[in-house]
Amino acid sequence: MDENKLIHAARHGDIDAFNRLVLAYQDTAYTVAYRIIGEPDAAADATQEAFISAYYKLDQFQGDRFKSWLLRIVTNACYDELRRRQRRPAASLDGLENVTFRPDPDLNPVPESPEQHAQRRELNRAIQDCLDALPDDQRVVAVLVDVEDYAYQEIVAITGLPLGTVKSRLSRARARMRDCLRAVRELLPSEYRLMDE
Amino acid sequence: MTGNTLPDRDLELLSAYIDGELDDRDRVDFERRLAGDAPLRDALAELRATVALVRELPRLKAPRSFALDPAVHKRRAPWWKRLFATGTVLQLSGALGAAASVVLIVAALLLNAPGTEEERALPPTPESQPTQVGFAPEPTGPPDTELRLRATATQAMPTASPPPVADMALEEDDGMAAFGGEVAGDAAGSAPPAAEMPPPPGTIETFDAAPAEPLAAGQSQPASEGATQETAANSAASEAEEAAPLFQEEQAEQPAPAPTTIIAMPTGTATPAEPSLKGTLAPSATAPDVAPDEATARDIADADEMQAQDEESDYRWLAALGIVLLPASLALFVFGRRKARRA
Repeated sequence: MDENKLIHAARHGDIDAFNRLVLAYQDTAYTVAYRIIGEPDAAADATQEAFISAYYKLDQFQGDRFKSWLLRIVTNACYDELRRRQRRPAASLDGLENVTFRPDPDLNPVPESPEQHAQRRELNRAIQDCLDALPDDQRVVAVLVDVEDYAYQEIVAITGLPLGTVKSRLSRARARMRDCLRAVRELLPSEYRLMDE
Repeated sequence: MTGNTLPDRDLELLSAYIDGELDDRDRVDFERRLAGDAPLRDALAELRATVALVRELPRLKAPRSFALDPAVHKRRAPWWKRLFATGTVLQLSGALGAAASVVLIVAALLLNAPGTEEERALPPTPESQPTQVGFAPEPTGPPDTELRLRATATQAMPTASPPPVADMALEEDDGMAAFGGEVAGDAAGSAPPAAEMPPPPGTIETFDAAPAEPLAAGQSQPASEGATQETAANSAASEAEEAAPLFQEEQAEQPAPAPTTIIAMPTGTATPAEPSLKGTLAPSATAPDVAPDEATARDIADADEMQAQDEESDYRWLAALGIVLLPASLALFVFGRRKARRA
């Protein structure tokens, strides 16, 4: 059954049809949530809340870009989670000067040699920590463009921001990421060293 | 130049250039700059490496299924079923119905309020009823005009002076006012004053009603038929002139005739002649003669009242509808509210 039929059936109360949509998009939704929030449990909670919210707001969905509409709900759920964390900080967000590498949650085990696996884990951890160090609004745009590979206009649709704001936030986020990764370049594998090294 | 010292504008250009989001003209301009600006090229390379690193991040698998539990999240009914299930529609309908009921009742009260029309403000006074001229023809003008004429005629009766009524006729209908003035003048001039020849009590007016009735019939037509009406009116006026002596003769010859007199007073066009005729005939209108006039006047008043009542009753159904609708709407609203609470 194609996506439109599943959406139509879900709108008419077919929760099984909606759950098929959930299964189709839950990896994407969770990836975005994890890259924005930076913690697996909080990302899972935000993802679940986003799907529940989407289920009850399905009547509001207009158009044919269900994925963009869903990711907008996911990013809003992430903002809510980040605001909760700011009110009750469970863990401090390290600045650029104090980037620490937390243990990899091993979310996506890839069959590779132990050395390669360790190297990749370290790299991913460094990048994620640099992402976590970004301001929230810049991180959301950077994740959607550089992690999910969305075009600018799709970012406009997802976030509701003006195109100029998307461009400026993205350029500032990339500049910060560049500076962050430059600061920890000695930890990166040689093939990932930056150009100015 | 390093990436740290690049202005924000160049950073945006670099970022958009990497993503292929520059339009053709900006892209060409930027590439021209890149060709002659080595630090800008270094900054571009560094930013590209950063973006490539971030894009190396793996796609994650969800740690668990986020499918919704049907037991927890009930099967979603269609929106229209949900609206009824939660009582929203019932509450909304009830509220709208109650509001509409109030509007209906208020509108009906306003429309039925007394004193909204001029004729309701001019009820026939008891003293004027006997002196009102009893004429049967259908009114040719608007009701208020007719009433005004009637009131003026009533005021003019005691003095039996034609000028005020002639003036009124001028106001109402210029074409017929000329005729009225003539008739009034002629009739007033030819007919003896009431004080000069008081008829004996009990005298019945046998004033030639036969010629007057066709006149009334003719003058009850629209004013556009001026020529025909004028001819008929002139003949009526001449008949009236002839009737005065005849009337005097009959008074002498027939002391007690049967009360069969009809005073023909066509509405509107013959109104100017009214005072003169009254001036001639009113003194003889003793008790037996006044009775038919009163009856006719009462008939007219009754007809007016019935018409007014009919107009009022036209809006009473609105109030009745609102009164019926209001409790039903309130019941619907309460029912919907209870249903919403249960939901």
